[in-house]
Amino acid sequence: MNYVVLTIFFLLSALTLGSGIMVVTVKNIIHAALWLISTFVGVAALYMLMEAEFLAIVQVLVYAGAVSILVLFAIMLTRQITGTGTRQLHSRWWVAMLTAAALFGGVIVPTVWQQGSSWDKTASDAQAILVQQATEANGGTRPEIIPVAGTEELGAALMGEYLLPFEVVSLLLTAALIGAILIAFEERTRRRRVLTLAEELALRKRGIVEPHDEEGAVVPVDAEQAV
Amino acid sequence: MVGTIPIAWVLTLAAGLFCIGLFGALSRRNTVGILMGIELMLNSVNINLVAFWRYLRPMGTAGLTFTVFTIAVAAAEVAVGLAMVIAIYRARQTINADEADTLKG
Amino acid sequence: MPFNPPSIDLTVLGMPALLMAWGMLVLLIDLFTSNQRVLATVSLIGLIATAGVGLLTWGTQRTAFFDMVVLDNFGTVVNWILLGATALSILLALDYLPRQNLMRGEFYALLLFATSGMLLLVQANDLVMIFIGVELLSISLYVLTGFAVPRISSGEAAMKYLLLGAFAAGFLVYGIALIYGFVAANDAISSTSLTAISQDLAAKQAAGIAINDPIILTGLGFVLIALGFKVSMVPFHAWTPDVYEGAPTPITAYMSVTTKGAALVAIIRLLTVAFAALRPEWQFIFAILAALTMTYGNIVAIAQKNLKRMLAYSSIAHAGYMLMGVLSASPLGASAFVIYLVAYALTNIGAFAVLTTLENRGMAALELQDLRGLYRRHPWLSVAMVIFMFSLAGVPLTAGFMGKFAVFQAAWDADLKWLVLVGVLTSVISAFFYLRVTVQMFMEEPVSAEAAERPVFATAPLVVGLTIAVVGIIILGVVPSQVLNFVNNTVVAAAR
Repeated sequence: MNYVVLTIFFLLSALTLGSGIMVVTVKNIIHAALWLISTFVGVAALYMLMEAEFLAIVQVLVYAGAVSILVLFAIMLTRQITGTGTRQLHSRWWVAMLTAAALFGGVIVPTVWQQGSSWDKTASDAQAILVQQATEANGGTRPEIIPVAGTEELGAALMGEYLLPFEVVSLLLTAALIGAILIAFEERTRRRRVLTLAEELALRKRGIVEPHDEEGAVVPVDAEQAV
Repeated sequence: MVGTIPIAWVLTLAAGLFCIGLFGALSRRNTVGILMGIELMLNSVNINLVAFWRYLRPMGTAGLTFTVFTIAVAAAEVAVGLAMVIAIYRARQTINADEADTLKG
Repeated sequence: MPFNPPSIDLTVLGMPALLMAWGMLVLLIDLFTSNQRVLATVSLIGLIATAGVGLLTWGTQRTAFFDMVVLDNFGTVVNWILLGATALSILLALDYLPRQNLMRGEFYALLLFATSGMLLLVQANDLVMIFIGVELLSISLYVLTGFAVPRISSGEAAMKYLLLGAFAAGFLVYGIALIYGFVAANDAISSTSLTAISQDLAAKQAAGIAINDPIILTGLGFVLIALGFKVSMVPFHAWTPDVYEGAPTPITAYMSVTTKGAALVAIIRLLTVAFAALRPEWQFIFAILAALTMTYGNIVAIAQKNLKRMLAYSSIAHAGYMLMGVLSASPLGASAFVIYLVAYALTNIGAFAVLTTLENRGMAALELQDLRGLYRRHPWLSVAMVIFMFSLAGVPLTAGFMGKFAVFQAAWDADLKWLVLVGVLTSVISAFFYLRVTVQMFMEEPVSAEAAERPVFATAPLVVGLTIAVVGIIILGVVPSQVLNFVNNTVVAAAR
């Protein structure tokens, strides 16, 4: 037993699950977003523990960096409806609680534990093969670090076996980008703009608007109205 | 990691995070809160995938690549979702032409 | 480490690849012109060209990109239906968008992206591709649903769709992860492709290991929950009425047909290719869900006053009928599903086209009573609507009857006689509310003098679309044998 790894694992589990619970229960939605960052960092550390360094860095960059900042921005831009005073949970939150608990205790955990020992046997076999290969490559002595598939293999897989999904994901990101801009931007046609001289003249003839106020500044008119 | 911690523990941790996220997504009234719950669910899946990769197929890449795809898709989804939150908020704030039309029609 | 670049097999990937590239092209053209007739025409040409690629690759049957995608005649036929449905939806949108002041060029690009995601989903042969295909079509559809976004109902529909879609995506990836964990324990299997899963299950079965393991059942269940969301199968249907009501009408027409079609093909491939060995486990559960879906959709539809909501509930019911074809898990069932999908695509898009013509700018909702006296305002339109309603109800001599007949036959053959009975009974129930629409159009007086004067926007593209739908329904209903033979031959040939 490696007690260091064990301790780290339990600390990280406590961090991840504890901040996860805070995310879904705290009243203040900004605090929830901050706890979310803590959960993301905990998950990144777990990846580190499982020797997936590249994914740990991606997790910090994308989730802890980008997604959580996006969430905070959205909260700040809409703060009147996300105030701290209002109730944050449904009145029937206990139904959700029961559903989640039933799924956890009734479905996933028994399933996983029932399969656990056979998986652990496969895992120790796979690990033994890894150690043996690493020892052979090192000239007979067992090296400090047993290599597993890392960034290099991941890159090769993304350009090889997984080329098609990789390319499609890039299209998906494009679609999401266009969509987000389309939805969040003010509509072009609705934007108030200053009229051209010709339009102003036409409007004045029809008597729709008084184009100048007392200071002589041009009063913007809805472009739609001008047509 | 392998040999010290049984895989079932890691999977239980992931299942716990998934169900916490599920609870959040089902019980929050606030849209951003629901989105945060969904993010927790997707994160827990990634723990599962990485654990399967490390324990069962340490020299393969299927679990790793799938995690990368999940992260990308989750980020795209959250970006679109937050854009919608902002747009709806703005639409509620301003009385625009369409609403006036709605009253007439 | 040596790196071998993969061979790019554009024959297999032809249809989705061309459509994706075409979507990008439309996006580029949008930079230079804001004339949406140009964009719509280019998009239509793209759809036709993609269908043409299907013609060129007809008969090929192989997988590519390390078993990620598969090309077979079954997939090509479904792709054609999806492309046709997209083209009809573009005809619907062409005059609707400017009238509702929603004219933005990205509409067409996003529509093509969504369709290419569906084509990928239809051709997917790997859990990764199923996930990516579902997400590509979903994200594009979230945006399209919220396209009328200053209108609150549209924004809220989009939000609801996105939240439930992302929620379902969580289940989808969790299920895929569990299946991956189950398969990865077998050293001989190196990927999550559907064929590899079936090999793994076969190997375990041969070794005497029980394959109805909780882990694989949980994984499969989670994946099917997520796909059930897309199909709007009961009990995962709750989003459907709100989203269909809030979305712009052409988009409602589009997604009510295509999303269901593509997701059901994914379910067919998943169940018959990968998990055929588990058939006793899934078939009964699916039969119950199909029965629930048909019953619930048709009964709740009776109570609806809003036309779009009524059609939404009716679309839930139709998903149930299509599921009957899917769960028969036979070549007959697959071809019945294809026939039903054609009939449903023509009919449902046609019905929504009629709604599109009646929808004024800024109209809050289209109620059943708004149809009163439509016969006097626009006789041809009401005749078309009658045909669509008859076809949805499954009256003989329409395409809908052929579709229902085919799925009932398939289910009967699969020894699910009680399900056929449920199907027939719910069809009879459904006739009630479809006929009520007809009665409103012909027999009742308009609610007010103002309602009698409302304009009907039957513009040229819409009339073309309506004509195609009506002619298609009648051809399929009156002389169905050629179509039936064609579909039977291709699908039976494609069945493995």
